[in-house]
Amino acid sequence: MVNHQPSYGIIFISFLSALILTIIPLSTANQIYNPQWLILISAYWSIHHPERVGIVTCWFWGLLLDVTLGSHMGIHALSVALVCYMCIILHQRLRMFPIWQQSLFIWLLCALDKLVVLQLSSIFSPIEVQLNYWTSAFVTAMIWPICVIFIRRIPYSH
Amino acid sequence: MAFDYRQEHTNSLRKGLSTFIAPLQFLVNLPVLALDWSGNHLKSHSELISENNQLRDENLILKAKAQKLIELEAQNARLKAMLGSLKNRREQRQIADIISVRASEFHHEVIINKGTSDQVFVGQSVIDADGIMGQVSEVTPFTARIILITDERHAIPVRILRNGVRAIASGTGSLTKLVLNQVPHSVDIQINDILVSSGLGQRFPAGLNVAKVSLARHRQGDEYAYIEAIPMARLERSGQVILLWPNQPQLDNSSTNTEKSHG
Repeated sequence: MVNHQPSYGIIFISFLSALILTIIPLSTANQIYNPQWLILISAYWSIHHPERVGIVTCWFWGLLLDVTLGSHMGIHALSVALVCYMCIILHQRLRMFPIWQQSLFIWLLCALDKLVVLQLSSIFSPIEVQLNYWTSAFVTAMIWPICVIFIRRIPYSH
Repeated sequence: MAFDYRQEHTNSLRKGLSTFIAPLQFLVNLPVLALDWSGNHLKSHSELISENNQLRDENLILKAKAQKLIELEAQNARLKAMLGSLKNRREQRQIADIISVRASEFHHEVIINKGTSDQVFVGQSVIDADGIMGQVSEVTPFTARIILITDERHAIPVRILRNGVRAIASGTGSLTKLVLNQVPHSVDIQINDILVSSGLGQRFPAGLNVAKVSLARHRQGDEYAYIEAIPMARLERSGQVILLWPNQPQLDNSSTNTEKSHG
């Protein structure tokens, strides 16, 4: 049985797409439903191919997300690296879970990411969020199964 | 990790990475541009004619107002010269488009399609047709990030048009609300008063519309009056903005003896 590795090109494109999808302009009311694409993609690669995508890659793309969203440098980088670390530690076990349980874990990770970003951002200026700030964590967890199925169908991705 | 750095040290890194991100922002903007283009090109002939007529009428009215403005400016310059004070030249302006992307997670910011290659600088004032929108907070070679006046971190010095009383209007985090800080109860301020920029702090030029007062609450026990205002610029609508370049005030040639001694 040959072990295939995902090509670097596909990994790059997937991260780039995550970045692009994050900045799509949705109306202010709908913006909260925009899933956390970077967390989704980082979690996918960390769980299924941690030998290709490590903490440094995720950290770097988190830094690019910081630049895109204008937040203080390193906030999203730190949070994505944290999520990536947790995925890598548990990646063997996570691959064994049924998809819905993986979704629950992703929900937890997304909520963690939102918490870290919120706390670090509010160091520099007062941030007020409504309760619907946490909705996108749930949305991201919901589309995790779709993401898994979709990426598996792309050639050269496993 | 990296967030320990204070913002100043990482500016060059941010600028460099922003140059890589800028194409993505233009890419995301493309569908919106395509939509606008098709909206413009698929209009019916009669629609275009009526829009043309309407714009022509509006243009005529504005030109008539502009004549009055030129006359007032000339009169103002004459009066200032009589008093021996500095003469202001009109600022240079340029139009920029707002790129339709999500600019920030928690803050009120927009991104425009002009950057250092168009001489945009940090701190530059940005206005739209109805009032002040904000100022430039970051520039990259091809884009710039603008913080709006309604952002919680932003405050603009204003004065009431009616009586010249000065105050500071801070953003609240809501796109339709500014709050005036520390206004004593004795100040004469009413609902529907127009607030214009006072020019103090030398960030924003004086005399531009900022907001209209919507709420003035004087409660017995409060230390200060609570004043709310609605920004006059249309912040929630994307479109075009105007960037202002302030010119240095010039000494008038026919000045008095006091200025000549510095010559």
